[in-house]
Amino acid sequence: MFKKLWLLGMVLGTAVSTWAQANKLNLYIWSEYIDPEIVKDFEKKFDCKVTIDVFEDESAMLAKIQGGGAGLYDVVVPPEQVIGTMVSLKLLAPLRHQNIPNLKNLEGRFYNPVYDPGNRYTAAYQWGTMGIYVRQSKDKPVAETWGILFDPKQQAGSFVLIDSHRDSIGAALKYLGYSLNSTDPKQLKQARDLLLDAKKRSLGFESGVGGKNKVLAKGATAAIVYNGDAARGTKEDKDTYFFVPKEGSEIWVDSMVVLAKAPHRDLAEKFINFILDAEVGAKLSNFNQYATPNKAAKPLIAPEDLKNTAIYPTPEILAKLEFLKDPGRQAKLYDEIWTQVKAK
Amino acid sequence: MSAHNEHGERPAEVLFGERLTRRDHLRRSAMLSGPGFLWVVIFLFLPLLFMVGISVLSRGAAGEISLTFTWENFQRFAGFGELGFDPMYPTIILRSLVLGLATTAICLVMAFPLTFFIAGLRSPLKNLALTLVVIPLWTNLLIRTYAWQILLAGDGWLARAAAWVGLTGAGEALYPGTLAVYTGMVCDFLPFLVLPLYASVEKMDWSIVEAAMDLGANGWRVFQHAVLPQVKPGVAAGCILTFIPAMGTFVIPDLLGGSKTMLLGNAIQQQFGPSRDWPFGAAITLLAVVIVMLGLWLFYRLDAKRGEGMIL
Repeated sequence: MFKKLWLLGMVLGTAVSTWAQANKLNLYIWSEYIDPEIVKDFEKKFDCKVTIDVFEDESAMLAKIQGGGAGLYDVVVPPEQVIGTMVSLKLLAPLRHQNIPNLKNLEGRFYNPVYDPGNRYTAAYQWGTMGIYVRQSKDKPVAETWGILFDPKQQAGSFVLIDSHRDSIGAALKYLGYSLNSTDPKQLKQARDLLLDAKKRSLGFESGVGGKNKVLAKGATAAIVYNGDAARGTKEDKDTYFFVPKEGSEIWVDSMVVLAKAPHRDLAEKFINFILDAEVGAKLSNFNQYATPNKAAKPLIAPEDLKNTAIYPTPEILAKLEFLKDPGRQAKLYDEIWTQVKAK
Repeated sequence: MSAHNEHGERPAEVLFGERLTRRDHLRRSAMLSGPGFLWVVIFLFLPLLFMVGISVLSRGAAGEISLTFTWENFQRFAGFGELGFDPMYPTIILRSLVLGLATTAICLVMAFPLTFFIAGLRSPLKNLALTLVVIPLWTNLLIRTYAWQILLAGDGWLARAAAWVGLTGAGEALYPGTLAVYTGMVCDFLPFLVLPLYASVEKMDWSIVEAAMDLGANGWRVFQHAVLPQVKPGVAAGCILTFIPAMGTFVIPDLLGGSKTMLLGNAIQQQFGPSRDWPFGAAITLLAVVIVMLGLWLFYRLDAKRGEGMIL
């Protein structure tokens, strides 16, 4: 009996180790965020198999990796606000720059970024903004301000808020002229009161995609969304458009990272280098309608996308955008504000 | 036969349809109940113990569980937060209790006539009716709730009918709102009350009802003394099956209520999800379990006092 079990164990062990050695890349990424052709090209070029798992929100992704999934994936594409957390939880492997020569293709803003000095752990994948997606009315143009949600006098029809605590509180803080990352209880209380009032006048909270769909289906006039979703919406219905409010907003970057326990670290770095290639980078952004952080890829981006300020904001707007930072110990403050907004 | 046989064991008894010694009996019982027992210990009892343990730890700066003992999570639950006293968690629990109780009450009122109607049908129709009750459960809860969104949308026939009658403005959607939430909740939980209630109604002894009527009881007294005691086990099982998940639900209030309120389910999800505060999440969950257990215990005690034991 035990001999049989032992044999079985040996067989399984060998199977697992050959499986781990095989040329395989496990990618964990937001859904519908990579062109399937790029994956095929990579598989052909490096004679390997790419397995993709997707997530819909970064907290679920983090929970999975923290809760025993650290050895399941090679490359993960998290947003910048969780990079600090992932580094301090020792979940990431440093990038070996000699294996990723294409890192030099990154644009200034994304090379040596604030959330990861020296690109020790990350290489930017795509970036974007958060703003308002709105259905145009025939008679008067919409004022490009957060006020159409937060100021009852400027309200332009029905609207939905975004069901994410950092994004919603961030929008209210920006309207008030504060930083997205404020941890001043007074400022946060003001933002809370603003959100409570807006909640009463709103159609409720939806995810970014949910809000976009509601505007498209004429169930709401305005919604807080991410720009890539809005760009796709505008393609469907020309009467809808996206703007970043004049008070400023959030800029986000999704980055490629290699997990500390990645089973295929070499291939993971080859993958990152491949994505950072000019042609591949352009293909990626042309596919998913988000902005490329790759300056070498820019000349190959569809000209109408480059001109689209919903994807590539003007320099004036860019100057007013802020990255979200992990609040660390102050996370409880944000949690409490959000619970108050939701529970009242 | 002497008190002990030649092996010094106690005399055999007839158990499992055979004459078994004590030891054999024990082995048999262990084999039969062991898998279920192990399952409960490994997948229910141990995780619950972990939860109790985690609920007195604290959140590290990066959202990890830090091994520092604290009662803070329970103070926070009581309303002593970073920004001063605000009893929002007791409010959330109360709101969830109200939603659960109201859903159960509406389902109960609807289930009574329905089950008696079904029980009174001829047998092929009876099976058909029961199948119709169960059919909605074949579809995923999320899809059913999204279907309600479409039905209640501004250009749906329900909204148009409501506008035509003059209840709402033209083109106005019937959701998000409280009415939409309750519609979705009742629609979802009704089968959980109908099925156990039906099982009781089916085996009801109607001669007792006839006897009560012969003795001159009016409609209400017949129901109270001849019907209710007989269907009580079904009512109890159905109410518990409805109330507990209804209290913990958050998908329906989110999708049909516009996520405007926070319920127990959302509060727990927020801690294990976006806020990544597992210790606080564990504390909320633990207190919710304690409150539900206390409620069931109270229910049981009250019932036992009245002298008509239920099935709990």
